[in-house]
Amino acid sequence: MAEDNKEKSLDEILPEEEATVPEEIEKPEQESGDNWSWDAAVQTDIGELTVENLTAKAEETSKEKDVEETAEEKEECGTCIVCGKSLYGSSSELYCTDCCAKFLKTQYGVGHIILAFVMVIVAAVSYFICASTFDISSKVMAAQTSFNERRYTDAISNCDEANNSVSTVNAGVSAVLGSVSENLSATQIFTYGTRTEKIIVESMAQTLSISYSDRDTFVEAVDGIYTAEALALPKNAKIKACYDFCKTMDSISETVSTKWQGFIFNEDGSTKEKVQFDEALKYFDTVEIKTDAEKSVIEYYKFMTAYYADKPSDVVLKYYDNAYTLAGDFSYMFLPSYLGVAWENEAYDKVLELAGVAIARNSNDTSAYYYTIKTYILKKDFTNADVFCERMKKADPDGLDYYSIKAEILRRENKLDEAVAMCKKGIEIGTDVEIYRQEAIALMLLDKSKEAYEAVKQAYDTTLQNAYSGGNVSLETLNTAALIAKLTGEETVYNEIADVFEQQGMEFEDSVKKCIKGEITFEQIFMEGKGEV
Amino acid sequence: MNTIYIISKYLTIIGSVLKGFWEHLFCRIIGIPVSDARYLQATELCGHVEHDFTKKKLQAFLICVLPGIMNVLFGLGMLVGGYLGLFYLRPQVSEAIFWIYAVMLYLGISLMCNIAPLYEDALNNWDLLYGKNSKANIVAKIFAFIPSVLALVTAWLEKNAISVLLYIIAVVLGIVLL
Repeated sequence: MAEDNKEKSLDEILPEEEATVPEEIEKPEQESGDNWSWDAAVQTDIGELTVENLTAKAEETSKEKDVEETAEEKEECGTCIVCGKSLYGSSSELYCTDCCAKFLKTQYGVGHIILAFVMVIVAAVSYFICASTFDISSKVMAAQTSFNERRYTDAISNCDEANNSVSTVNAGVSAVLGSVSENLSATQIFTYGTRTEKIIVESMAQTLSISYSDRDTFVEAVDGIYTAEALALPKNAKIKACYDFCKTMDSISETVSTKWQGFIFNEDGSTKEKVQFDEALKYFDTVEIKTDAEKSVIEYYKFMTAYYADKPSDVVLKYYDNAYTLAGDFSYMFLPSYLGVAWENEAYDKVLELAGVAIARNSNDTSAYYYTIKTYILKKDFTNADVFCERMKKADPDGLDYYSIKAEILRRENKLDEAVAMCKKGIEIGTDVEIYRQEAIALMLLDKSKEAYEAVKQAYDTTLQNAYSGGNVSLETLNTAALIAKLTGEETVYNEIADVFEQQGMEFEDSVKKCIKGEITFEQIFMEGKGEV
Repeated sequence: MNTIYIISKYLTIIGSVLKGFWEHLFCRIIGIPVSDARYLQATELCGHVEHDFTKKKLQAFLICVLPGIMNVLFGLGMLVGGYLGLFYLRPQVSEAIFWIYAVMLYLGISLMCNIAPLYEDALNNWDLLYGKNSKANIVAKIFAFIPSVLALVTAWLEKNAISVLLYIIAVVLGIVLL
């Protein structure tokens, strides 16, 4: 259409050879009004004006213009930094179009591709190792926190969890490696590291008691972890001191134990009717001792002699206190048994004092809480008993002792229904002989003798199961079970327990015998005094 | 400074080569011409490829962050696992896991020391996004701000070999404190 219009317009301008100048062309002359001969000019130009000529001329002019502009642009664009060609037309500011096309396909090195693949595998394996290490480390961190907060039992427990994680990961790794080669099936790659070992040893050192097995385990652990040189380092001074103390105890025990046993026991192992207390003391005076640690051990032997000789409480406690004091930094090793001795000898203020020390040292010391609560119950200070009961739960959230001791507090407060409810709550969480026993006592006091018997039977059966599996038998449970069985007319169980006592050469507690005879009531045993059978 | 930079790149050779490879790979994917694909050379290009100085915002941003992200993804597990295992758990030297952790730590540091773009690329990206004549929209500016700052900072640290120095300090602290 544009072409047609163009042609038409040119035809109108040039219809004949003697074409007239159109009005539109005349206008410039009229407007300009100078000496320019418009007619002449038109005459001259018109001679060359054909459609073809004009078109060709226009194209030529355009091309010339383009060439000029392109040259200018090319100059402005700059040159390729590689080949020196103009960057004109290139999308890059550095490379020409040709170089750009070439550089968009720059080849990778084979080695680099292999490295990338290898790194993919290495990264995947690393993430597995990282996750496993993180899992182990999180438990070790928990152990470290517990240790720093003086919760030594928790610290050891956290270390056990770390060890379990290590075992689980190693089992998985061994299974995978074992499927590749049987030789690799026993591979144990992961360990919990020396930090965990250190936490275990230090926690053990802080929770050591004077029992031989405790000391032996600790000494073995130290021997396994530290070399003599490492143990001598200042940073391990505390461990070394504890280690040396245990060694001293072992050495003195080895020296005196055989001779000491001769003063206490008959050849068949039974206790002598008349313990040779004075002879034993004379012997101890002859033993060569230099350090306080050695003196402490000797005092401990004197305490045991006094204990077996049935000496008065103050004598027994005096020797134990000497041993405790002379032990210096390691007096805490005597604390657990000192608490028991003080409790047995009814030195209740001493119990509270020692328990306070024990709890300050190790907030996980549940036996210290236990004796504190028992003492407050005895003093009928149920508020403080309750406070320590809650502290005990905080120190050992998973422990079942809380439920039994709490039930005892409630029972002593005559809140028998609440005591039973507390026991039931504890039973839901776990099986514990003492919880069943406490439930049975509370039910008995509520005159629910049938349910009481069922509960105490559970306690009795559980304690028997524990005995079969090598656990301790609670004499308190056996006495309570015998008493309730007798009172509820369950003669079979009573006779069974009586036979056990007879076989072991033991007798029922006095309070049980008196209650069976009707000399005292059930309430008098469990609602007054120590409340123990 | 250039010598220290090159030494740092050769000390972390695995990360350098891998970073160069990722740059090369992403340049090809994004469509940026690469004129020199030698990942290791004794110039400031060590650990990088010589590529076009793009003026496209998206291209500039992606080539700044993507290769680094790849090295972070690969190296983070190695670094954390190695550091935690070696300096927190502290296995004994005689145990195999000690050496596994040691290799992991080296590889992790090696990769994490090579996460930054060339400083010029980081500046170019910053200029395109936040420069005076930037026409980037506000959403892009917000989205790209933290990565761009990180690219700039890490590029400066790497340029001056400070990143290697920081990791060496971290290792020493691990040995001494943990």
